[in-house]
Amino acid sequence: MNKLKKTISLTVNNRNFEFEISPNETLLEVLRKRLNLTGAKEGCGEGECGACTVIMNGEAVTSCIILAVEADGAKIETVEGQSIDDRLSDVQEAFVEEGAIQCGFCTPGMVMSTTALLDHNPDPSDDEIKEALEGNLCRCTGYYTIQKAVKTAAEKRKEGKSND
Amino acid sequence: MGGLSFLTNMEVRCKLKMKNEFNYYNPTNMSELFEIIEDKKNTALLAGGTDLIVDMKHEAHKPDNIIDIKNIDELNKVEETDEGLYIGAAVTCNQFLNESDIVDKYKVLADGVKVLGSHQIRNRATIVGNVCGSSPGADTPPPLLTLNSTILIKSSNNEREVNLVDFFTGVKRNILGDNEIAVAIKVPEPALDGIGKYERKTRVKGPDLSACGVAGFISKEEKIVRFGYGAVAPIPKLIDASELFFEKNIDKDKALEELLNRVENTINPITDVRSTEKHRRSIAKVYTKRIFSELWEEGE
Repeated sequence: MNKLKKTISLTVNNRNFEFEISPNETLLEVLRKRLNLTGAKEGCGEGECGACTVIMNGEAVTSCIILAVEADGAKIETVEGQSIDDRLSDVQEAFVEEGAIQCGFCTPGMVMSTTALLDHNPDPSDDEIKEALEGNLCRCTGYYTIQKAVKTAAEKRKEGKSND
Repeated sequence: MGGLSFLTNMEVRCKLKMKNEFNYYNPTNMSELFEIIEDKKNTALLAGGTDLIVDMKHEAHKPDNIIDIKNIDELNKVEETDEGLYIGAAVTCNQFLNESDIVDKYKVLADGVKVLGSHQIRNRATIVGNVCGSSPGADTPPPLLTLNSTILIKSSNNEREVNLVDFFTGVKRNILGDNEIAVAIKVPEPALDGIGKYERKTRVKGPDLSACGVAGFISKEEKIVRFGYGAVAPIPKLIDASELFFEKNIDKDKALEELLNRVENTINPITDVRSTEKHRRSIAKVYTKRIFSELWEEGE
């Protein structure tokens, strides 16, 4: 059987791309293999661990279980697009300041889930933070510092806005 | 991105690469969808894909044709109609949870939707997909059963609406025929005084599959006491105990005792990685009692 290739377009970190892909390629594969954006990691490959989390059309998603063809026309944000002119984003800065990183494998996914959360909800409660990050597993930190980093990031965003 | 250019010639490995090859179709209306379904063999419908893609990666499912149903407007509707709530087949969990008026009114269902997977999964997974996956431990069927929900099934030349209690036929099996698609779940508007709750037992807090899920719905005005059960039988189970509490001339405690007997006789749990048969039996009854007491007192 002739399995048809598909041409898709993606906007990744504000840059437009067009690819010819096989339908069985995942969004994560396209990001990592074709764009060399290796921030999103393949942990479990089943959408359970959250290491592959990216923001797709404003929502945090696990890119390892999304077909790239499904993302045709979508706006994708990855951790590589978070810093601007070598300046870390508020969320990234907060993760560094609070020591919310150890081995770093989960961090890109954590940063993207946090960014999506704060984009929707600038002042999340502890429960809302836990709900938004429950799909991101970390084997090092014990989560406390991560939760603290989300709070700090929210504060930084508020300060940033008031300084504007 | 420029900083990573040294990786250009490096092979970025992917552990769980999908080997199965397939054609991808992306219909934008129902007639186009049915044309593809009629024309192609070995097809799979793709909505959230949170189960399908994983199954395909593990080669548990090898479709030749994938039909993505997310771009069909009719399937993206979640709305209240004169008949109650209509949840289209492509409506994601978080799309549903963002409808605050609906969430308040159909709280028992929202309880189940809120604990399905993780936040990222709920951004993709659909409620109809959770039902059609027909996993015994799925979190939305028990609440939907207590609300007397139906499922709207269409094929190119037929349409039928089936009570959800008659939908499931076995572990991951249901009555859907080859050329049929579950278009929507319909939930009748609950009684104004109706209150419900879904609780589940998991091994860890957060995203885990349910070891036992119990949903209860009570309306004293409309004389309804219904309980739904997940992960304690090959299919989700419903116990309608309304007559026990409102028709028979027995007191509440006796009726509750009889309800617990019915739970014991209705469920048929197994021992697996998530729990033992004995524990599941025990939890099903403990949660029934707890949810009943809470809802009954709340309705006083």
